[in-house]
Parts: sequence; C-alpha cells; structure tokens
Amino acid sequence: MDVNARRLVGIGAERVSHVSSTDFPGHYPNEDHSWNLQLFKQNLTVEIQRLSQRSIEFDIIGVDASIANAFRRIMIAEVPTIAIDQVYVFNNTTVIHDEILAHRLGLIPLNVDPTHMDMLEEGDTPTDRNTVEFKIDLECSWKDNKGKASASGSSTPTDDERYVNHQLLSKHLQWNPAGEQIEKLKNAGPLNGDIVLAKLRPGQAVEIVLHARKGLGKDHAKWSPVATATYRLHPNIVIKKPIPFERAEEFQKCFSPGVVKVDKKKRTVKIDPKHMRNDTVSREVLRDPEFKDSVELSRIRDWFIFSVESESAYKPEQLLPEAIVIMKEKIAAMKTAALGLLGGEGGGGGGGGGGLEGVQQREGEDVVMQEAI
Amino acid sequence: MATAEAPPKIRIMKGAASDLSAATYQVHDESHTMGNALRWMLMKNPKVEFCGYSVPHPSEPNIQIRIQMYDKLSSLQALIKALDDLDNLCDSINEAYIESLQNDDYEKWDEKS
Repeated sequence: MDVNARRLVGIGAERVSHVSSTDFPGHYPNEDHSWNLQLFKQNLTVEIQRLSQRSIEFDIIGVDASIANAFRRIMIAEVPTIAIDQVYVFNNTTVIHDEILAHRLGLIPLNVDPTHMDMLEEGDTPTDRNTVEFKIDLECSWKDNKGKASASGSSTPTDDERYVNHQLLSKHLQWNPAGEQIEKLKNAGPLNGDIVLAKLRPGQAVEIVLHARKGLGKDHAKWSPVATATYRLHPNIVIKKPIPFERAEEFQKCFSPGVVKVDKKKRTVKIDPKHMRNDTVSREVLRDPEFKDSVELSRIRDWFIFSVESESAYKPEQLLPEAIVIMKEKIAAMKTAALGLLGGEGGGGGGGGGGLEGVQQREGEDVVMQEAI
Repeated sequence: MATAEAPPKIRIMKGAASDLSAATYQVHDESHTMGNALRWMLMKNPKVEFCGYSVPHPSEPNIQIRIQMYDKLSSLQALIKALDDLDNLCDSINEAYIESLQNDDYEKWDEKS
C-alpha cells in the first residue's frame, strides 16, 4: 500500500510528527485546496467492516479529524435515549440507600424507541408522550423448608434454595403502559434483565414507582446511547530495508498478530496490507537497533476506524445516521440564526405543549422522591 | 434584574468591523462539536484570512468563532456558506454510509452479552 506522504502522521520512537492537516488554501503555493464537494465525494470512502447485534466497526476515509470527531461527540452526547429519571420510593428496607438505588436504576439501559417520545420540558406535565412509568414491588421471604432439605445435598444451601426474591433484578421492572404507549412501545423494559440492583433478606422489601424520560448524554451519561464510540487512525507500516531472515520471528513479534507475514519457502518478510489495520503501533520495533532504520511507522491522518458499541434501543448501524441527522439539525439552527442576523434581526421560536394526562401520582403517602442522577 | 430571556443563538460580539469583514460570533448552546467542524470548513474558504474558535469557559454553553476576511468581504456570508457546505458534507457521508450498509459486504458476527 503506497500512501501519499502528506496523508501520514509520522510515528518515531519518542515523538509524533506532521500531526496537523495541511489541506487548506494558501498552504501550498499554486495549489487550490478550497472546499470542493465533487472532489470531496470522489475521495470519500465509507466502508462497514464488522457488524454484530451490539457493535459496529466502520471506516471513514477522506475526512478531516474535526468532522470525524463531531460525529463521535454527537454519538456520545447528543443522540437522545430514554432512561429512568425520577424514582418515587414508597418503601425501601434493603441495605441499599434510596439515593444509591435511584442512581443504579437510572443507569439501566431501556429498550424504548426514542422516536416515539418527546422531551419533558420545564413546566410540562407528564403525559404518555414524555413519560414511561415502571413499578417495582418486591419482598424477600423464606422458602417453606428454609433450604434445609437442600436439593443439591450440600450442607450449606444456596441463597436460591433458602429465599424467595433475594435479589432485586432489572427484570423486576413492571411496565405500566399509559395512553397510546401499548401500541407504540410494544414491550417496554430493560435491555438486559439480569442486572443486580440490590440484594435482599427475608423481611426486606422495595416498593418503587419510576418515571423514565427522554434525555441527552451531555446532561447525564445514563442517556448516552453508546457504551463506547471511538476512532483510531489506520496504521501504516513500510519496510524500507530487507529484514534478515534469521531474525524474521523476532521482527514478527514486534507487531500485532497477523501483521507481518513470513514466507519460509521464499525466505521473505512482508507486511500484510489486509491485517495492517490490526496493528497497535506499539513502536516495539523501533527499540531494536538493527530494525529501527529498516521500518517506517506512521498513521493515515484521514483514515478513521470507528468502533461503536450500542447500549440502547438503537441498533449499532443506526447510530451514525442518527448522529448525522442531529449534526444537520445543529447546522440548520445556526443557519436560521445567521440568516436572521443578515436581515438585521435575529428571531427565535418557542414550542407549545400539552396533551393527555397519562401518568398518575399517588397522594397522601409518605413518598421519598429521588432524582436518578 | 429581569428574568433572563433565552439568549440569541448567534450574537455578534462588540469590536466587529462595521462591514463585518472581521467579527467574532458567540454561538449559544454549541461546543467543540460544531466549533471545530465549522472552523475547518471556514478555513477551506480562500477568502477567509483567519478563522479560529474557542470555548471561553467549560461550564458555559457558548463558543466564540473569530472570522477575518480578505477584500473586505462579509464574514457573515462566509459563515452561511460554511454552514451550507457542512450540510452537503453530512449528506455525502450519510449517502456513502447507507450505500456501504446496503452493499452488505462486511463481516457479521454474533456478540454474546
């Protein structure tokens, strides 16, 4: 693989070089470099590499770091999701304090599709469009035989053999659908039912009502749709001088598995361009006095390998398109304001609210209200 | 003091040239996300002499974009052009991504949770 030297970020033993991009008008004499959509489209490659039900890896080649970083930041902080926001504790006699339990509940990823929901703005009343209600009602008790006639025959019976409901799990969330939610949200609940929230012993109980709302990751990480959204630059390794075959194995071990191909018949040492992307560019090879002048390590400045893990109702392949939609909304909002300035007067708009009364509150009881922050 | 009204999305800060050939714009409720992307797109404009952005304080949701133009051109026009170009850029990336997704030429694997 032969890459234009201008696209490379040099990696030396103790320094990096040529970090900043130089594709700006006026940087090189007699070269244009002004924005050209046709040229940009020609040089742009987007390629999906791997996809599972929870994560995706894709390459974006031919964009500047500022653009790649904008999408990464939006995926983490500005794609909305639904998370538990308000926790009404009617009873909690477990050893987990109300505020700790509320925090744990807030972090449960929910399978509610955010497109069916609105944000609850300040002053709005809860409706079926902006609030999903859950309930937890759990009490721990002894099993009839107290685990004495243990099925496993062990002298120390397990918790399962001794107690009923000795763990509060995310699957204990009971959805209380309101209004049109039953048709729209189908089956709202946690994405993973086996998250342990509290451990209980006989006599302990929890009774909680939960309100889930739409929000953004920039307000609280519980609203972030991703576990990770990162990118790295594609590595570029060039062998400049032949590697002595006797030391081929040592050379191979300086790189990630698969990056260096050793041909025992032809007695050659080569870099496998397909597996080059897997290298960590550890610079181990530069520590060897014999190897250090034989290779050139670098990364390609405009080749971004994104790795995104979804931890929300979005499928992993939906996250980049969602981020692009939000980026376009941000651009549109700024453009409206800029055009307003051009006309001499800036304008803004407000939004009205209102709707069905879907979620009811219980009164008269001694309720501790917790915000799941 | 009267209750604070919602600040305007974009405000031209004082000290701007009267023909707007050099101006600093304060953008409300934006961050590095838009700041850096817009800075890059403005720098792609050969009529822009200088462009830079800053987040003056991490706990205030504002950014400031400084634009200086050659030939006494309007920095506001350059800003609008950069926003349009950025919008086109988003569309082309989305198109290319959707195409790659539909080509279906990638490894599918089963990830255990």
